[in-house]
Formats: sequence, C-alpha cells, structure tokens
Amino acid sequence: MEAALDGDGRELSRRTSLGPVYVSQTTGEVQPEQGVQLKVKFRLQGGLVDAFSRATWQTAYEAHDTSLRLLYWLAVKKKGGLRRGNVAGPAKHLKKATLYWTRNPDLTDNATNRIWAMVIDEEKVPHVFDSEEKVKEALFSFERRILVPASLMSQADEVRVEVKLKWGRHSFIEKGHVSAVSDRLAIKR
Amino acid sequence: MALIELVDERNEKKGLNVIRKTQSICPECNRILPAYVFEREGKVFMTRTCPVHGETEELYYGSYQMYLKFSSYWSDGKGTKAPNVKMENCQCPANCGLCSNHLSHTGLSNIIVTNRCDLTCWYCFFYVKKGLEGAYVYEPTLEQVRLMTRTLRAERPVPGNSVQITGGEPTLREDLPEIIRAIKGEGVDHIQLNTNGISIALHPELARAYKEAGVSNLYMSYDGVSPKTNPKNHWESEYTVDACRKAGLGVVLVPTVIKSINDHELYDIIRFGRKNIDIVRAVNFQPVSLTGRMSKKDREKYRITIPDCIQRIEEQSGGEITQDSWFPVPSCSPITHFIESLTHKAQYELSIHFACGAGTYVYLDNHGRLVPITAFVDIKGMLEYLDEASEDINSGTNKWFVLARAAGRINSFVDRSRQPEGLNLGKLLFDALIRHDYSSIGAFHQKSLFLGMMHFQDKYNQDEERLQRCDIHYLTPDMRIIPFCSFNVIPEWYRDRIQKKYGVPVDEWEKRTGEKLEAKLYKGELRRRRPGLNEKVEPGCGCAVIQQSVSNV
Repeated sequence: MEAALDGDGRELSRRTSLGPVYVSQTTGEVQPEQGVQLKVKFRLQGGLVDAFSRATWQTAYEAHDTSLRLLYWLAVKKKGGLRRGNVAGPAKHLKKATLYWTRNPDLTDNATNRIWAMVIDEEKVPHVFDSEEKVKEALFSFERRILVPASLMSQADEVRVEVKLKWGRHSFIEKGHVSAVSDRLAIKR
Repeated sequence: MALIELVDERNEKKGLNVIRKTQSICPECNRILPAYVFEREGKVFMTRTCPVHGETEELYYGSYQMYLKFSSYWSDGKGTKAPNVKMENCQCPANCGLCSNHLSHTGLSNIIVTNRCDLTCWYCFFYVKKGLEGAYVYEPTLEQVRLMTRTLRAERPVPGNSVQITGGEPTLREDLPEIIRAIKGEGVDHIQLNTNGISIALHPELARAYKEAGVSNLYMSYDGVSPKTNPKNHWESEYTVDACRKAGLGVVLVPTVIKSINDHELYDIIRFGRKNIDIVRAVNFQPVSLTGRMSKKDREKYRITIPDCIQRIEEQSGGEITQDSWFPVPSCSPITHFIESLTHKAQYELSIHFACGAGTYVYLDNHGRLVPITAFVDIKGMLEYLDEASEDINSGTNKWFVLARAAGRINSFVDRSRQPEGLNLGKLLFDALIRHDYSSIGAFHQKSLFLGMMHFQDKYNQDEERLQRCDIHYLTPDMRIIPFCSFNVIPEWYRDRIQKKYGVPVDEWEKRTGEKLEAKLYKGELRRRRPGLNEKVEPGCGCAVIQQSVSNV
C-alpha cells in the first residue's frame, strides 16, 4: 500500500473528530440488581468521513488497500467517590469496511466504477448497502449498549463515557486517532 | 442483443430478502444476467431470469448463518499483473485467460495430461467417451507441458508455484515421470497428482517412481467407505494408500459429495483419513457440480453445498467436528497480509470468494479423538490481531517491535491445556509467520489432518463474483490460464474447444497408437482377489466393467 504521507493525508487526519457522545440509561430486560444498561451514540465526522468516498475506494483498491478498520474503546468513568477512574472498560470494538469489486449491475459499470464497500459491524455481520450515503452512515455512526454490572456501579451516581477511536494509514488518509467524552449522566436506580 | 441485460424488475416485486446482487448466466444460453442472492427459511438461494428461457432459481448456500459468518472474511486479492488477456471492461465469463480483471493469482494450476480414463463414472464430466461426436483424445506433448508451466511461472507479482497433474486419469500416460520432472524442472515446488489410484494399487512401484520424479502428494478420489458409495476405488484404495505409505508419498482424499448418494458417509471418510493419518494429509470434500441439463427436481435431489456438508459432518461425528470449526478460505488473508507487511513483498494469497471453499485442521489426541483447531486456538481473535499488527507496520510502527510483540501474543491465542499432547501449535504458527516458506507450511500440516471443502460451480449456481476470484486454474497449450469455473462450466467455450484444437479424434488416435481406447479400462483385477465379488454394483463405474467382464467369463 502506498502511504498517504503528503500534507493532504495528514490534514484530513487532523480534521477528523468525534461528534458529541450521547449516553442514556435504558431499561428493559435488565433488572436493577443485574446492573445498569447504557446506550452510547456517537459519530465520526470530518476528514476521514470526507476522504472515504467512492472515488477513493477505487484508488485505494487499486493500491490493494482494501480494508478500513475503525478500532475503538468505550470506557465508563465516574467522577469523585472513593475509587476514581474507570467503572467499566475500556472495551475494545472493531467496525470495518471491506472494499471489493462488485458485480451488482445497479452499482457498477464493470469499468471505472466498480468498487463498493461492505460494512462489517461489531458483531461481525456484513452489510451491503445500495448507496454511498448509507455505507458512510453505517460505518461512521456508532451505537452500542453497555451493561455495567451492579457490583461496579455501586459507588457511582454519575458516569461519563469516554470514546477513543483509531484508524491506520491508508492511501487516502494518514493514520490518526480521536477521543471524546460524554456529558455526565445521573444514574437512576 | 445486449451483453448485459437491464435489471428485471419482476424480481424486485417478489419481496425477496435480497442479500446482494451479482451477475450470473442463463444455464440454457449463457446470457449474462443480473442475479439476486437471497435468504429464505435459513438458506441462501440465487435467482435470475432470462428473457428467453425464464427464471432459474438454485440453492446457493445451505445456511444463511454460515453465509454471514463466512462473508465477513471477504478479501479481494492482488490478481495478476501480467495478464494474457487485456480487457478494458469486465466481460466474465468471456475471454478468460487470465484477463486483467481477474482478482486472484493462480493458487493451484491444473495441467491435463490426458483425457483418457480407466473408469467411466456417471457424474464425471472429464473423460473422452468413444462414439460421441467430437470426441478427441487430448494429450499435450512434453514440450507443451514445459511451455504451460513457464506461463504459470511468469505470473506476477506471485509466480505460480503449485501444479496439479490431472486428467482423465493421468497415470495412463506412460511418460508421466518425465512430465513430472519437466514441471519440477521449471521451478515448481508443489506438484500433486490427481488420480483414482488404481494404477498405483496395481503397480505399487509407481508411487515411488512418481515421488522420486517430484510429486508432493497424491490427490486421490475417494467417494465413500462402501462399495455402494465408492464403486470407483473402494477395493483398491487401501492398496494405493499402502503403496504411498511405503514410498513416503502423502495422500489427500478427495470425495465428490452428492446428496442422497454419499452424503451420509462424510465422517466415515474422515475416519478413514484418521486411520491412515501417518500418510493421509487431508480430506478435501467437493460438493458435486451438476453438469449437463438437469431438471429442478433432479438438482434438488443431488445438490449439496458447503454448509450442508459441514452440518452433516457435525451430526455424523456426534459433535466432534462442529460447524464453528470451519472458516472460509479467504480467512487466511490476514496471515498473508502480515507477512507482506513484514517483507514488503507480494505473497501467495488464497483470495477466492468466501462461498467457494472452507477448511479446518483436526488433530488426533491421545484418546483417538479428532480435536478441531478451534477447540484450543482462538482463530478469530488471532486473525484480528494479525490484521491489527499489519496495520501497525503499514502505519509506520517498527516491524521488529511488532514482531517481538506478536511472538508473545500469538501464544496467548493458544489454550495449552486443551492442546493435544506433543503439539506446540504456537511455535508452529510463529515459525510459519517468520519463515513463510514451503517447508514451514509443510511442518504445519504434519501431525494433523486438514479438512477442506471446495465447491466448483455449475451453470445453475454460477456467480460472476465467484468466478472473478477463482484461483484454481487450467494451463492450456495456447498459453492461457483459464479459471476452473469457466473451463468446466462453459465447456463449449473453453474445455471442448481446447481439446478439439490440441487433440486428435479418437479413431485417429487408435490408428496412430494401435491401441483401443477401451483397452485401458480397469477390469477389476484387485476386486477379484477380494471376497464379496457378486455384491451389487453401480452401473457406469469401474465395478460395472468388472461385472461385465465377470459375466463374460
């Protein structure tokens, strides 16, 4: 793979950021004695999202750069109390896009426009979408449910969720990493 | 008539749970059509509609869950940078050769040395039949074999390094040792001999002769453990295996799996491999390709896919070899990519379509049980780790630092407490990653049985996305390299044309050689030495020939 060492690649990497991290407490199948279930939502924005387009899929593929891996960690943190720092995590997750030569007649002319991206989610389930926008939405938007065991939550009344995300060097962007923290969430018991 | 038809909107209205769209051909007229791969009742099907011949729906993959798991390992290869056919636009399956749009270099190349055979199996599509119009005996010369091998070795960025000598029955060629030496002389490391093994059973000294000439292993047809399921070489295979044992020549068992015929004996075949694990290296199941015109009812009777075989093995083995033990062939890609990131050199890569093949390793423990590699190695975790390590190196991290870290991490994926005694898989894996040569891969194969699946396509389940990634190719005397599933799926464009162009009509061959084609048919000499001579035999195979000769007597 040819490295994106020029200024554009680094600039794109610098311009990548995480949008606000939304955390909410969800109820449902989880009993209070089991723990607290949190729903975390966030979105990647800027350089990487812009750079990962159908035009770059083609050039990346030709450089045999066929996979974009987004590795991220979620950690539940608390403020104050006897034990500071992480309540749970960091838990590692992987979402990736695999570039491939599609033979879907709706998506390819089998000549200049032929590369498509399949999104493999955190559960290793592949998804094939029929538009570039849907591919990007699925790849760069994140939603996870975290179950924090009651034993770990006992002393935390307020928590925040920290997200760290990294990607490697590609033909269309330099390697980079971003992080963000959610607002505090008061835990209901 | 347009080469590529517009999408048939009628299919859109069926409310299919479409997984992906691809292209296929009409089994009647070979027209390229848009095709829908869809899920129904936990299985995966493919459908397409020809404006002239109507709809063809076919079972594509026997398990939707396995389809999802396997497709997550999709990984396109590097292809070949020295194509023989340059094309601007992709026109699969026309003009194969390889073309500039093919996505896999040659993983295994086939050289047909004869299309004569000593058996006449009813499901086989590849032997010359006397009396048929246009029947040609095809036997390339030694010089043609050399030139074909040079074409393979000229592939870039990865020169082809693996040849299967095939037929017909290649051992009918008396100059086979010379052919083997010629291929070896061109620098090919791996040569396997695709055979029914009968010649070797009859003449055990051939095993040593072939090994000394350069054959790495026998790729032996073995369709079942009873005369009914394996009329081909049931009585002979023990002799063949024994001859190979004495010669130190490894054996790969190759069952063609046909639903309702031999799919109830898959684990028994593995047990035969286990019994001979000192010399049997692998069992490579091949779900049948349905050739010729076949009604939907017959296709449903015989069609079996990779997940179906995997499920049957789990059932028949009582859970010894579970479905989770299996991974698709392209799951090897993280290993290749890791080695490439270390060496900055293109490596041999198995980048076929996930639906084409699957495999696992099983190890014999002290209790005589077969233990799948997944019972003591976290394969999924290890592959993910290798992807991560490759990315680190490609992103600028010092490769020696990554390698040192990998040495420790790879062991952490192996549960030593569950590892069969005497095996140090962590070391074998690390050696294979560091040395990444033919011998280290050979070491990895020892003390184990590789179980593989390879499902070649036919006109009913043909998928252009699969064909474009095919890495099992044929070398032809016109210096082309043709994917298996073009060569055999559309024989009128490839196989038959080649054999006609470079072969001679049967009558002429008989005149030229003074031999009759049927003179080499196997007459069951070994079976006559065994009890149970009058058991019922299947028509159309070697045993039928025996029966006939016995009746004549």
